[in-house]
Amino acid sequence: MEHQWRNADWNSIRIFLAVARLCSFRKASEELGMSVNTARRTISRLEDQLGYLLLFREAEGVRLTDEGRRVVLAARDVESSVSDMWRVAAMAEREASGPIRLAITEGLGSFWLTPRIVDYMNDTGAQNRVELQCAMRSVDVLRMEADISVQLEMPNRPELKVKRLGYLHLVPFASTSYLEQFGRPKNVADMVNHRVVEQQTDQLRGYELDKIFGPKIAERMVRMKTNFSSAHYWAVAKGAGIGLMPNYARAIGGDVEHIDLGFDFRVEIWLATHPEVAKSARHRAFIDFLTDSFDDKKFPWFGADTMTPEEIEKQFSREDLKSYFEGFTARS
Amino acid sequence: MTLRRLSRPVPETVTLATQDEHDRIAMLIMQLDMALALARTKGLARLEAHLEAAIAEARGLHSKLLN
Repeated sequence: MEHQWRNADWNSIRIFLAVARLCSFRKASEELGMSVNTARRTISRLEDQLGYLLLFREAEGVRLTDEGRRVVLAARDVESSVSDMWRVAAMAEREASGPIRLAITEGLGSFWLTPRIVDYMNDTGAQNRVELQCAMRSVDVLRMEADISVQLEMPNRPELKVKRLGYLHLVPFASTSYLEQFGRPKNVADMVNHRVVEQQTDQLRGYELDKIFGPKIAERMVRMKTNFSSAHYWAVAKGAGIGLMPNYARAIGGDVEHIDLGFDFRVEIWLATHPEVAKSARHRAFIDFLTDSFDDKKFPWFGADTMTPEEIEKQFSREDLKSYFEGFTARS
Repeated sequence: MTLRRLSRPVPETVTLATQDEHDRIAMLIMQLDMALALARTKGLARLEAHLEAAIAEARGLHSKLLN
């Protein structure tokens, strides 16, 4: 009997299920909003196609044949399974096209990740709206302030899913004009006669110059303070003083020079996600993209070992670096 | 294509235990055909493709049983 079902249409099966449930062509046709004749004709055509009777037509109503009973059981199973699949598929589609809320420390967000996100959007057909929240503080992903956080301090809540993405190496830079005017310090001791631009945020300690030079001298040295990476970058690039910036700072495009004082500050870059968020396919795909964006095999300046700005420029062509950083500022 | 079968009493309730291999595959093919009809109605193109593949496999298995 099974081969006659090859060209069955679901509408016939749906009418048959209604007639079988209500034991009546009339009641079924009322429920389905069709004429009794159409319902009768549809079932007769189905029986002709199958080659066996599904219903006994009797004066008091209809009664299922053995085959009819078997078909009802099979069709109900199918109806509920396909409906489940449909629901799951619809949910998956909704889930896949939802937004992604990323909180990231402002400097990494603006200078490094934004151009990468544009590539990600193009690669994925901009299926998801990316809500980029460049934050000065670590956002609380447990309280769902964001779905994913990229931050410069290790997340300390055990409930979070965390992963170290890489390292940020901060080294001293100053503008060419500043160095021409005030000279280039040769060592840390020389710094006492220089102006310092300091960036201090919740996530990034200040330079703690007071521990090296004492509070009085440190106070005199720091001539500008900011909490914002782009303001800090501009201040250094425009000659306000010497500031610590990522070792790739020259590639961003400002007229800045590395001052080799024989040290760097290494800061860890962490990713934190809510455990529920980590179950979502769109977020998992985005986390893979973030992991890739800080992969030290491709971008060795995020590696554990210090890479000086000179080594970066030696290893990567100007064009490569330009394509990575896209010249956030115009090089003078 | 008709399979010659021994006549058996019709059970009150059909369960896996009251079915032989032929019954089970026949039921499976019928359900897959129905699911395909429903998938077409709902426009689930990817599901249609999966069901068509499953039907082909079940029919192959059925032919093997017959021969």
